[in-house]
Amino acid sequence: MNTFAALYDKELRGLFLQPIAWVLMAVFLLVVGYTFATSLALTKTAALSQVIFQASTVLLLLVPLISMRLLAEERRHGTLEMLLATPVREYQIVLAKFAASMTLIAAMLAPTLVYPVVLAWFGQPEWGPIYSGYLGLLLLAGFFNALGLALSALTANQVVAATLTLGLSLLLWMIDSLAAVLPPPWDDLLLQASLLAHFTPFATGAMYLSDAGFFIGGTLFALFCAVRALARR
Amino acid sequence: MEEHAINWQALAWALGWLPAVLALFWWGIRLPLAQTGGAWRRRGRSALILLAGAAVFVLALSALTRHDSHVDLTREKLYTPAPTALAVARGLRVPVSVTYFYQGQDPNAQRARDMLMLMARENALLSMTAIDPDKQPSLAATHGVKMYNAALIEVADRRVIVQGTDEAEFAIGIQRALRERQVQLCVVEGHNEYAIDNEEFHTHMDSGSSHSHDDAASKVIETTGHGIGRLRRTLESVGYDVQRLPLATVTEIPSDCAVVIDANPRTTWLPGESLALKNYLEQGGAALLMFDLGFSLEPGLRELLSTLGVRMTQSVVADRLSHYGTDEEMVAVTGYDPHPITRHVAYSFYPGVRPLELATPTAGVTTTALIRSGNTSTTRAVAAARRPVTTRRSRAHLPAPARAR
Repeated sequence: MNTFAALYDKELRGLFLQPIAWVLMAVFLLVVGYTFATSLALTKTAALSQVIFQASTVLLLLVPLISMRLLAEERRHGTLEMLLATPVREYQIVLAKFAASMTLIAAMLAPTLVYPVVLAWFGQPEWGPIYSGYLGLLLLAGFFNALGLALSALTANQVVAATLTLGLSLLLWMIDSLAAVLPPPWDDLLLQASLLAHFTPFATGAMYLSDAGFFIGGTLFALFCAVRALARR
Repeated sequence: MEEHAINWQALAWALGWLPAVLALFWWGIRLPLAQTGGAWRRRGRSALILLAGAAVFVLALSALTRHDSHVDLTREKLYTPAPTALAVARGLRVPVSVTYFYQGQDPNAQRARDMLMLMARENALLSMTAIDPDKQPSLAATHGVKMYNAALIEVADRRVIVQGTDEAEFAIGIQRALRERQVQLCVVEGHNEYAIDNEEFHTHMDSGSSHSHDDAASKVIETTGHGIGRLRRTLESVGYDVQRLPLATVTEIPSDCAVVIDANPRTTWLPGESLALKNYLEQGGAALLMFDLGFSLEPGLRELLSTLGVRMTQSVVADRLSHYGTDEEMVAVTGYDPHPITRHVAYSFYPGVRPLELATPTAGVTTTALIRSGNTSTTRAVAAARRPVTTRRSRAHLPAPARAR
């Protein structure tokens, strides 16, 4: 546990001591804040569903920029070999990096909690979809992050890692758009693989256990792949 | 409140699923990394482990999906089937099959499909299949379904089709399919009545001089189309079985007709038909008769109506003060007496309507006017060709529904 805590601490410092974390947080809050302001001004409705959807799209674009450096940078600088030469297990490295990057993502999401507070101050928001929306955002970001971590473990080039993560995430996000024209069972298979189809119920306030299971299982599988990918050292 | 309660069994399954998956994950990430043997052997071993991990992921997800449950956090429970629909699904004691032919691009149909899926999870006896006819036209044709958003409900050899996107209507359809004996409504045909199987819905645009279906005319009247298909579908959706009754071909009205309906006949009845209706009513039957201008009463039918306390003339109701636009014959009725039939009816218009006059009924019969035109209304007699003949002033009772039991 001490090893994990030390690795987590190191990763967290590494993330927050670099300007990229602050730039990403600023960009995220700028875009999501703009969406909150415009949707509130246009709809006059105390709801956050549009903000939640917009935040999910922004996370799709920004999380690969967080995860791209996690292992690729270590591999590029040769510090991964040094790290693995110490009595540290591969899974501890992966889990520590995942936990640290999730902390950064949570820190990005945390300031947006002021939006429901504003809504509650001036109106009567429906809290259920807000709770499920934030839970969905964390699960979705966890999936993106774990996928990026696994792809970052495969390459020493951060740009390649980010591009692969973005491409694969985007494909899984919109893969169900083809489902409308495919016959069964292919349409159902694409729907089952679609991140958007699994995320939408969270944003609208109807949580299915299978959707939560999809994100949790997908994240764990991606982390498992990341651990196995470290064998390529 | 209980109807929207959490499915504890599914929740317990999920709570068991999560530790199991985490344990597998913990075991998986601690597996030794392949570092012995040749390069191909190492790659092969890694690939096998990854494939096994993927298989575990798919199997775990399948297991959770099979025992899925949902938590509806919306205030109005938008994503939860109506309590009545859930109660029907939970109360099933025999196998029921529902095949929903839904339009894949229609959000309401998607919601209806999801609601049916949730209902099916409540009871293993309820099986649910969703089919998009655009993707599987042959399946829709095989089932004889030609409409979008139609639920085919099958119980043993009984089939009921319910069109719509409301799970409460599907539940009523299930109850209809389960019912051994259905309440039958018999619609008379044979006199050019309104068709009961029309599907059309459109808005008519009428002007003083013309009739069209576009918006070029000056006056607008919303109608439900040429026919009473919508009425039939509404009756069916609330559980009635609507049957045709070719009255001229029967000597007596079947006793299982709960109500006889005749909507706008345009040719005169035969004496035998009037007699059949009379006998049917005397035996406790009920009738909903909607006679429009131009329909000539057969003497036997006139006498029957007279004994029921109703007299009809070939005239049209006009109201110089209370009417739609500038047409006095498009009578406005601004209020209704308290009655169960009209309690949900608000301000309404009756264009070119034939009046009913109340007469003294025979002993044991009570007449009640449901719709009354205003004090300023008059009737204008018309010949068969609807030319004015005379004018006299009286307060009219508008026709339909002239209901007697």
